[in-house]
Amino acid sequence: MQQVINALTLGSIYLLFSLGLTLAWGTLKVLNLAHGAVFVFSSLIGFLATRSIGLPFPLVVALGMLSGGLMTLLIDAVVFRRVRRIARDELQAELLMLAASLGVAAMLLSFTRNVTLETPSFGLTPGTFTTVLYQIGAAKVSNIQFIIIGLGIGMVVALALWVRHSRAGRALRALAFDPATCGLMGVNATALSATAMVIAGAMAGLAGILLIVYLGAIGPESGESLMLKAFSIIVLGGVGSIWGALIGAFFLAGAESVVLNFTSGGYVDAIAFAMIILVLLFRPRGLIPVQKAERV
Amino acid sequence: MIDWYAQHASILQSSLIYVLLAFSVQLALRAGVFSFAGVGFFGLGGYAAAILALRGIPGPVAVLIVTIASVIPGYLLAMLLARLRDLYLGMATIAFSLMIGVFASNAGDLTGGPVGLFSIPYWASMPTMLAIFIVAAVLMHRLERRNFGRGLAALRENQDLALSVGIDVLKQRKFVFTLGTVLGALSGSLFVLMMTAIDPETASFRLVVSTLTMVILGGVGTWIGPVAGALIVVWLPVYLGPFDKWSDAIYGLIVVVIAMFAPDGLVAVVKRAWARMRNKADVAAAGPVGSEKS
Repeated sequence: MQQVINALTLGSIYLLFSLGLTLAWGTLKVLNLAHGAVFVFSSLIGFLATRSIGLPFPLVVALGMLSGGLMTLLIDAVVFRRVRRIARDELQAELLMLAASLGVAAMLLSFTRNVTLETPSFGLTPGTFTTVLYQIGAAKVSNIQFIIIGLGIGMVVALALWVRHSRAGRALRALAFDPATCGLMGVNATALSATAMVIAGAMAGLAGILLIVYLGAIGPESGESLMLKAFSIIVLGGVGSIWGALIGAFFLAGAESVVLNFTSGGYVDAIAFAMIILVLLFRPRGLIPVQKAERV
Repeated sequence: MIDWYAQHASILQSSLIYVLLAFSVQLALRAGVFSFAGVGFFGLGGYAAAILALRGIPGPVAVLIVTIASVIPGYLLAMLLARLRDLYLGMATIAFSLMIGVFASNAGDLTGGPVGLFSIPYWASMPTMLAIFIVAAVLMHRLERRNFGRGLAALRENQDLALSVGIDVLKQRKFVFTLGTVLGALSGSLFVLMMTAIDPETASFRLVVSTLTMVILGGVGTWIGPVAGALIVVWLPVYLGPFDKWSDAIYGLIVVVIAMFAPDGLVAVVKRAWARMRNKADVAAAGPVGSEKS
């Protein structure tokens, strides 16, 4: 029971993180390698904000989402938009956006490292969030776990509904299918992709703030291992599939908890990789193959 | 001159080693194969060479064994990832490269865990490295010319079209992928014998960043691109001085700026400027410099 709750919590963090990545990849064909760095950056903002002024917890969460969203919007508006315009063909655009996002990631991580030189890992100032433990049956569940699981599930449902039923969501799905026709139909692709990127970044920021509360502190390198996990979640679920990300995230978290329980735990990060290889071997399009027209 | 050489011998050698690594990624990208597996094989080859050298096998022999043996895992990975394209392949090979670090930290005494392996017998010979570099550069040059080179260029531009004119697309892709992994393993093994130490950080996210910096900076169009890119990336820290701790950020900034303003790389910019100087009236004819020229 305790293990299940812990796995659900971890899975929700993975889920929030992967949702943004899969949204950007599925609709805009951007593998944003800066996603992990944005996640770390948002946690850093949370750390810096609570260190200098005592903010109430909900505001810290909002600040994290805002900084993640704005940072991703900045990357999209300044870098990706230009790269998309000047690239010779789609392949070059994909390569250049991949490279540029890697460059942005290096800059953000270097910034984070240099700001937190004296502390290898950082967290929110104690007192920002008071953890309360509840006894439920044999398991101890803290309030932050409830918040994380609730937000994780809530966000995935909200995002799925938005993509499926709202006008913007429909346009976004159309954009994934055929950008040129979308333009003819009067869809503002620039504004729409900016919206998608802001949502993606805000999800990363939310995951960042929640994880530093849950773990107490994280280091700059945690974005890197989270990227590896998100890769495997996206591959398992199918690129662009929101429900696929849900299944992938909880499956990975579950598998990791099992391995942590039965081994010394060093190979936990290897599960993600094994999952990628196995899925690619047997179900190369993911558990829930998304039709091209149905991306996202 | 001799003093200068003595001071900079090791950095000259590491330039040559990184050129090989940059070749491995550039070759794949030029053929439209989105593979960063060369970076993972840099770590894999490095560890393999370190393990062999620590068990008393002479440096040159270890390099030879590792380079030849790397064909097998390289080809297996190529087969495994054969049906992946574009971003999928890029992501899978980046994941592979990050995984090498995870395995290295967990393989106990064999790889020395998180600490890595050290006091590996030193072996680095400038003439040998130069010779390897020249052979590799000639190979890369050859692969850009003739039918084969044109085939690779076609592969990048349009795979269906390449298939329709009789190019065995899958075979070519696997060949390019495998050659990339061999070059990566070669440069990794040379690197370890020169540095006499290796740890899991060696094949990390950072190496993916710096390799991509080299390739994007120079340009993927020709073999000169990675040479120029690797030289700049290796020599830049020598002149950074007090900004050293920001070197990652500076690399990142370079990549972003190049991607935004010189998508074909610096070599293409220089070629275009050169063409413009020679024939100011005929600027338009210079066009984009790249693979299609071969």
